[in-house]
Amino acid sequence: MTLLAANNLFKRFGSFTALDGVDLDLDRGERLVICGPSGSGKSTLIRCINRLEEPDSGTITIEGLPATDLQSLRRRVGMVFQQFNLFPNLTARENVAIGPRKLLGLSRAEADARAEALLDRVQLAGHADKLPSRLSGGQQQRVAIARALAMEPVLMLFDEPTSALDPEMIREVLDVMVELGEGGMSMIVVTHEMGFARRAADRICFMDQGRIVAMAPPQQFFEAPPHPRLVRFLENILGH
Amino acid sequence: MSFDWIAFFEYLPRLIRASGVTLQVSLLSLGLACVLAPILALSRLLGPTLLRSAVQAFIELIRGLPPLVVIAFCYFALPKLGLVLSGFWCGVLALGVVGAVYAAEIIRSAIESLGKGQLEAALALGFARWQAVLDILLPQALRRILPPLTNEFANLIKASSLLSVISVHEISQVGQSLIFETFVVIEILVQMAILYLIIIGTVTFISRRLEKGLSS
Repeated sequence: MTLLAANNLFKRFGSFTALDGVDLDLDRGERLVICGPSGSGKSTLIRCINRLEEPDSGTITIEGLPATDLQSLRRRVGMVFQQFNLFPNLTARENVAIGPRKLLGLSRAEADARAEALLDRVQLAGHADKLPSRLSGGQQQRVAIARALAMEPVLMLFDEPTSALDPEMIREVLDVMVELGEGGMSMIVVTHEMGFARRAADRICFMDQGRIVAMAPPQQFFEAPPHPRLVRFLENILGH
Repeated sequence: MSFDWIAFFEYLPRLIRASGVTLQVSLLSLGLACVLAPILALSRLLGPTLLRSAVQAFIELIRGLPPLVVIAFCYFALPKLGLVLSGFWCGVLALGVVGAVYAAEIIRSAIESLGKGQLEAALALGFARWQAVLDILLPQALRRILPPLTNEFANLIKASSLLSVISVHEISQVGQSLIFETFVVIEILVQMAILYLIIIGTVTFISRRLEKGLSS
């Protein structure tokens, strides 16, 4: 059953074409990984899905409905950023609780209980009272995942969630994401972590110059890359 | 040159009374600035395009003028537009508006300095733009706002000396007329300096305490 349908998306920044006619469908519960060289439009694509960028043209529907109300659209679509973007003046618990409390009308106690359950789920049970500055990058990113989940989204977007992390912290974040996917969450993940893609993705999509050049299940994607540009890309990132 | 202690104490009561006026004008204009500044800053950040440009033009206009000109405008031009205010209330209005404009810019730049990521994180959760600014960005900006704001308020108190030109009986006006009456110069100047330092020092002290409260 289709959760997300994006049709013929175009987006230009000045003379640079970030999206050049992109079509994308996602089924409920599906995990899609998007990869591609920098500037290929992958971040722009997922930022258009929750309208942090407004596409110049094209349509996006989620659960069959076009996004008329930005706030309610964004409440149903969680986003995790490369730079975490936690609120630095709030503790981990408050970071997770503030959305449900201010936007979903939960009481402080209800929101805190939800936050603590989610922090527990991302293996941060003992860190609820810490400010982001006292957490490692990997811990911060897991708080950010919990914060997005607190709004009970139908779709999670990850924009290079491990690119700003030290190598030894990447695993703990990816593990949380794998578990989330196994729990049935619909996910679109922009990443260069091909191990994660192989392990957790239903389909992998390769973008270049604002277009989706190749789209395939992991096995086919890696073993019989369907496009010469993708073959070169894989050689570059897997070859060293 | 000898310091005349008798003259010093003879004229002190009049200047202390005048410092009450300085304090009143300063606090009232500070209060006005505190109400106006967030309104100006938020309409510049969140308002529709037309309002945003109008507020920006107003801010640039007032910032481009010496406070003395704003004070004179309030005193001499507003009555022609049908608004007659006493010198005291002219002073409160003029200094309040000048203070508000500078404070508004401090608030705006503090919010903008937080970076795009914070705003985007709030928007992505489903906050409306105004909610994101009020609930997420403003509390963070507060610590960056307070130190420069204290500076601005100290400037406001000093600028109240300009009200001597519209005959408000504050420290500078009373001090000047005492000097012309008595030709006691140094003693009176020293008294004026001490009184200003006490007032500004108190404001600075209170704001330091607030800063500490915020950062803990």
